Amino acid sequence: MPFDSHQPEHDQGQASMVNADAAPAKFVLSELELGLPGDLQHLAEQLSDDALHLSSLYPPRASQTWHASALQADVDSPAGSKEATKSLSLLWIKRGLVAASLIVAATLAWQAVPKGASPENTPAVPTLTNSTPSPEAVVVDTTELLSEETTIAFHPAADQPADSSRVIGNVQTEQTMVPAGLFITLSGPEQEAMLDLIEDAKIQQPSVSF
Amino acid sequence: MGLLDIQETIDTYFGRIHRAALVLTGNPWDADDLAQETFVVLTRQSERFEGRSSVYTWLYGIMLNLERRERRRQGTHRSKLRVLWADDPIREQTAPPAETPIEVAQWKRSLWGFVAQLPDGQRQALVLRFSEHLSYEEIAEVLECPLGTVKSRIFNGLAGLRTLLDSSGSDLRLAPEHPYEDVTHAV
Repeated sequence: MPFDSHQPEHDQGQASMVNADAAPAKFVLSELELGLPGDLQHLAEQLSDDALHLSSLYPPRASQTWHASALQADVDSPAGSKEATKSLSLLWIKRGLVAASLIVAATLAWQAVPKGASPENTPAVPTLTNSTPSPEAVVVDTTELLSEETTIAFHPAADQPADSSRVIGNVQTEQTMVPAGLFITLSGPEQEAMLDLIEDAKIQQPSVSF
Repeated sequence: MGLLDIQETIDTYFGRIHRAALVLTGNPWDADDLAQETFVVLTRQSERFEGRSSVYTWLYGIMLNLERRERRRQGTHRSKLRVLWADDPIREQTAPPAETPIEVAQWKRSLWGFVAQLPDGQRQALVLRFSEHLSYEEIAEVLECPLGTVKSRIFNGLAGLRTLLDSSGSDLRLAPEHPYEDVTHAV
């Protein structure tokens, strides 16, 4: 039971319920309209006594002498004013708008890039299994056209991984290859036409999806 | 500053608000903070006071809202910490958990320590009635509920308090001589 400030010194080791006879009579509640039973009535009185006792033990400290001017200064300070809150909100809204416009601009710029320039946009790109150049890659010896030491490695699917034999699941696909001897004998327009055909052929490559 | 003289209001009601805050929070430090915050809100929102109610009922309303909000915040914080420390038996053996609220022994031994275990509505009604001695009508005004609800909360609160006391036994300790030296942790 709660402390009883009226307990004798020798009896304070054991807290005890304040019985009806010993209940302090300094505060009597008019709880009759509630029809409280006797024990609840005593609890109510004990609550009042405890509140008074606690407030006498722990009064507001002297350092808490409050002045309206100090409070008002606190309220009027930029951190506490409504204008400050409003300007802070506006600042965040502006930041949000700038961030959103940057995101939109970046998205538009990304979409404006030609699809062919991105490796991801190459049709039917299988899983890259080997990054080393394929032995089947066509090496065109252009010594007759260029300098003596220069060699140009030509791969018909230059923007694809060099492995000509890819494994997609259990399906293997063969990449279209052009014999080098045939290619160098072609004229310029013919070479371009051949390259176009190769690109068309790439689109028709089989693909398997799971 | 509208209808209110802030300085006069502080001078008149700070002690009462502080007392209510003390029986609600269980320690003078939180009571200080709560009472101060109440008057900060008063100062900021003084223009909203229209004079339809008493100043102190308005103040009690502010204080109870602040206390309820803080209690909810601490409850959430404690539950999170309990989850974090669930697998830390060493800490449990050596020190009370950091989330343990500090309560002074005098309060914990008093009936108000038990009142803290009651539901919010009953707890607030008991504080306003038996610590602050507000009338039922004033309590209804502060809690914004019908008069019958106030009486019901008070009656049920006292009955719940009696049940808590019956089940708690008598493990209440002696009050310290110097109140600020004794700080106990709620279990």
